Amino acid sequence: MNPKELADSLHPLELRVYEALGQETSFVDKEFECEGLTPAQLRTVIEWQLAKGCMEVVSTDEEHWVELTELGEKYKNGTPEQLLVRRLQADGDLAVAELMKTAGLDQKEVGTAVGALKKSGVLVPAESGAVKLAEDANLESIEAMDKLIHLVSEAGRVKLDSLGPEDAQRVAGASRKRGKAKGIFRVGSEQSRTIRLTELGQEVRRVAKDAGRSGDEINLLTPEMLADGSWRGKTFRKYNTDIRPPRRIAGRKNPYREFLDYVRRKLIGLGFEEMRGQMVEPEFWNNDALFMPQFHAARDIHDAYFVKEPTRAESIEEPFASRVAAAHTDGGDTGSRGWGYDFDMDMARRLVLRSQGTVLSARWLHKAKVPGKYFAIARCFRYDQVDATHAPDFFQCEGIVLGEQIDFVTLLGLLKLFAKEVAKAEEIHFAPAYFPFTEPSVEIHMKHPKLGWTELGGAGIFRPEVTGPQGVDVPVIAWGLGLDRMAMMAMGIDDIRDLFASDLNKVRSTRIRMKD
Amino acid sequence: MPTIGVDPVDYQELVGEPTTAEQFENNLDLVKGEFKGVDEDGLWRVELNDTNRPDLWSAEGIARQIRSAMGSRRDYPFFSGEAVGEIQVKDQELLEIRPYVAAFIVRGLMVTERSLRQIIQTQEKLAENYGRKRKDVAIGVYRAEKVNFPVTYSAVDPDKHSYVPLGFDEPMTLTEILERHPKGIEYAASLAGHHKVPFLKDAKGLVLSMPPIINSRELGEVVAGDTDLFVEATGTDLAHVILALNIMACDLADRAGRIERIRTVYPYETPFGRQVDVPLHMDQSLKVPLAEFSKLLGVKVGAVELDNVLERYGCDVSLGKDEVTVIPPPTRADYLHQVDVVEDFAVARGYETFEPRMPRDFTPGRPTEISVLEDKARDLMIGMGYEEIISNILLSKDALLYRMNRPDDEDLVEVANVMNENYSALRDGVLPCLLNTESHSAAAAYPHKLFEAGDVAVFDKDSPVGSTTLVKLGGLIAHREANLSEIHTDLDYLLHMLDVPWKLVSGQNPSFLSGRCAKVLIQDKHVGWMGEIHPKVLERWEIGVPCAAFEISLDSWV
Repeated sequence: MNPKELADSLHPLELRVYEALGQETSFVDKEFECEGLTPAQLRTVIEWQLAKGCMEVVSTDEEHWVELTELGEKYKNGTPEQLLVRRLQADGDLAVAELMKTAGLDQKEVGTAVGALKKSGVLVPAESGAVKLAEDANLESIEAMDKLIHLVSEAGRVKLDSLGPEDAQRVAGASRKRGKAKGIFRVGSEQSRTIRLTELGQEVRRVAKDAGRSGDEINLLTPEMLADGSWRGKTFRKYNTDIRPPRRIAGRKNPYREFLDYVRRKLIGLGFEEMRGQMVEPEFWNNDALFMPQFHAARDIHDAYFVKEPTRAESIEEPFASRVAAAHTDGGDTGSRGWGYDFDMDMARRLVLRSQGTVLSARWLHKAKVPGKYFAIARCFRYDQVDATHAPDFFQCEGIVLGEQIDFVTLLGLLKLFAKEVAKAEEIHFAPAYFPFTEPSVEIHMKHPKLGWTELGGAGIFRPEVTGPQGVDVPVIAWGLGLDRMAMMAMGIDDIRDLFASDLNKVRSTRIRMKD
Repeated sequence: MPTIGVDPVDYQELVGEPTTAEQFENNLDLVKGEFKGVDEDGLWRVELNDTNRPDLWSAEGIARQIRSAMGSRRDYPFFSGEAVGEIQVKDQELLEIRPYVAAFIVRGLMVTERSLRQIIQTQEKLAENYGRKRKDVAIGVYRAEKVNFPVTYSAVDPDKHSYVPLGFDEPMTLTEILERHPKGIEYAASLAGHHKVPFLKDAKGLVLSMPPIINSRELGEVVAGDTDLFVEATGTDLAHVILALNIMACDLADRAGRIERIRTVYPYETPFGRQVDVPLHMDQSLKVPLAEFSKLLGVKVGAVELDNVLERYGCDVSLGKDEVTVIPPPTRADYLHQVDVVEDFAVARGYETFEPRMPRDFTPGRPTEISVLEDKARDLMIGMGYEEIISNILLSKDALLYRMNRPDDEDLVEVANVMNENYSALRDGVLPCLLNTESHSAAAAYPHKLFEAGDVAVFDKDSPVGSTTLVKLGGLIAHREANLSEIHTDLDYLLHMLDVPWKLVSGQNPSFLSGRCAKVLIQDKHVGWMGEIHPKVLERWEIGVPCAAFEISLDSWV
């Protein structure tokens, strides 16, 4: 931000600090006083200003101070040495046992003090095991300590460097240190920073001042201000939009459905009419009508989910049942040789959870308009172990295009259109493919910027054995698009199970990018 | 779809040219193959997509198709000529068990370790995939010099015959082989239901095998260095049996073997007569009007181009006035319809040679009526601050009944072949899905307002398929003070905006608290429920906050 923007967005607290500074450009934070600001608020303002580059830290100082410990407080009435000297001055020679009974001292303190006094020559032996003050006893040091204690006590806290060198030594000798249980003084330290307005800061201060900004601009516009017009002539505090607000929770489309909606919208835009149907289908529509031979490996019990009850559809609609059976057996009147086996209508009646979206196309054929385009985004089921690449149920996007002018190059054109419009792919490749229900069949591969060559979908022209029994005599394109990879890319996930996330936090944090 | 491993050294010999993996991959469109990388043995992994083209499921087959496109097509002269040996089918009963057998001999091969692996792979792919786990077709390979003709194929009592099978040292009865030999255990099902089993013996009474289970060790152990092999196939479909042997014969001929035909004599009629000499070129030719190519492909196709392109694809073409007769190679039997020939032409010409053309027909696009309603309801829910969920439709019975406090004998659409109990029934409502999400989301900031709209399947004995697929919408609120009034307010807004006459009437639903739930009626039809979720249900889902919810079926008033 430039100085003008910075000045415009200054918080009232920042303005107050500027005001308190007057013409000064530097200050020590611990000493700076600003009316109406608590130390915590001042610290916040300094942090904001530092972050914006309006202030900088010139130097950091460490200041040592001295206070009395609890023991020091107690010694205000005299150190043990002093109390003993006073007693001896009052009572003359005394046995050590008697000294032990000195008021205000315990035996240990007396013992230590006696030892110290003897060592410094203040105390000397007297007759019969007693002690007495030496004739030339020097009591200066004892009195100086007393004076120092009283000095610290009265000030509460004293700067260490305000003491003379001798007192400083006394403090050092009698301060609580690690490992030393007792001490008279506690020495601590505190950091203080010297802060200076940078050139930018000075410019901001100047701009703010010139603009007449002060701490008393309008913070919130109220209905009352509107009613009495008191807002007129006032300025409004500007907001800093650099600060990120907390993320809100909102009503929202599920990201995966958002993706599916996008595909649906695209297809409708391309002139496709939607198909929806039932999830339970007889094998007839799921497979037989699509000319999948009943002995085909994909019709194994291990490829579809079968329904427990009822296991079979009551009946299969005529005339489709007998026409499809004929197509399988010897081609019927489709011009085909057929698969050459005896069609099993009981197998055709077996109920499965639809395993492919093409079942909808099969169901729609006989009632489809010519020309016509249809699509379905249908939930399908495959008998697979669920893992990172297999969901228990998944969406297939499939459809058909019917028309007098449908042919192989139109099929390629449609796929190219899908690649461009739905997947935004520029580079594509058509590869020959095999599907039991289409001939010719093709797979479309597209060059993905991240994944490289990847399959977008499969398609073909329905075999006459598929269209004939449904009474359709124009060519029909059948196509399918693999949406899962695309959806996972758009959602930035790599486990297919996360498409159907059941953790709300995951749903909330998943965004979707249609362009990937 | 079979995946095979192609040995690069072996392949280059077969195709007759130095070939890099990249060049190999670039040619795979011709065989509808997908390159899957190089495996740990250095083999090129290829997935072959055309389940109707077993001739491509071998290095020889792939090489043959690509060689042909490069202009060096090879002819196979052994589809005519005298048979050098005979198999006699002995028993009428075989008609019920495994009716067909055929064979050929290959001589002058140089079987190396490399080629042996490839030959075994081809044999296995043909039997497993094309022969459907040996049920339709199984292939046996033997050392030819030990086989004395005529060979007999009979149906025998499995307790009364024995031989030493491959992989074992001691003679075993056929019953023992079926019960104890690994291949017996694996493939016994293909002979189940019969008192007798198929049995192949030679003229001296030496056992070849019990098809389709396992060869005898004496005749059926082929090793590197062998030069002459007897290759036999049995099965339930003679055309399949013959095709499998045609493929094997051409493959071995590509390895410089000389093929000799073997005759099978049947005591019963077969689609190819009582006496069948194999390899046999079955007539698979198709007549296609020239115009058909142009019409289906959308480009002008001339007779000369057609002839050239299909010849290079391995077919024989004879040009008529306005039509062509196309004879596929003897290794193929996949021409069912004229469209198959047209696709061959397109594949052989290369899909990249066709210029895509945009569809020109104008058609109005539109969603279904139910989708329009579903979208409108979803928009309203989102406007009220609900977050949308999308769930799997397969759930556990436990989630649908017990956790919802519903009686455990309520009818659901259940899966017969359950793989995982968690996915054993179709949801008949979306409420369990919403509760499932809530139970996983205690860490997400509250309040929670969730909804889902989507397909459910309701058990319906009056439907021809025993169930009806409906579109249901459910909303759930979960927070410290979630209650009936709040959800009522939201449902009221939703249905008001959807502009349908609706009302609530009292009712009992075990998933909801008694006295705090109601039936939702739209146009006087019961379409769903609204209320506070029963604490028992919350406990069973391990949910720690109160929940209130509604669920309605949308299609009931479209």
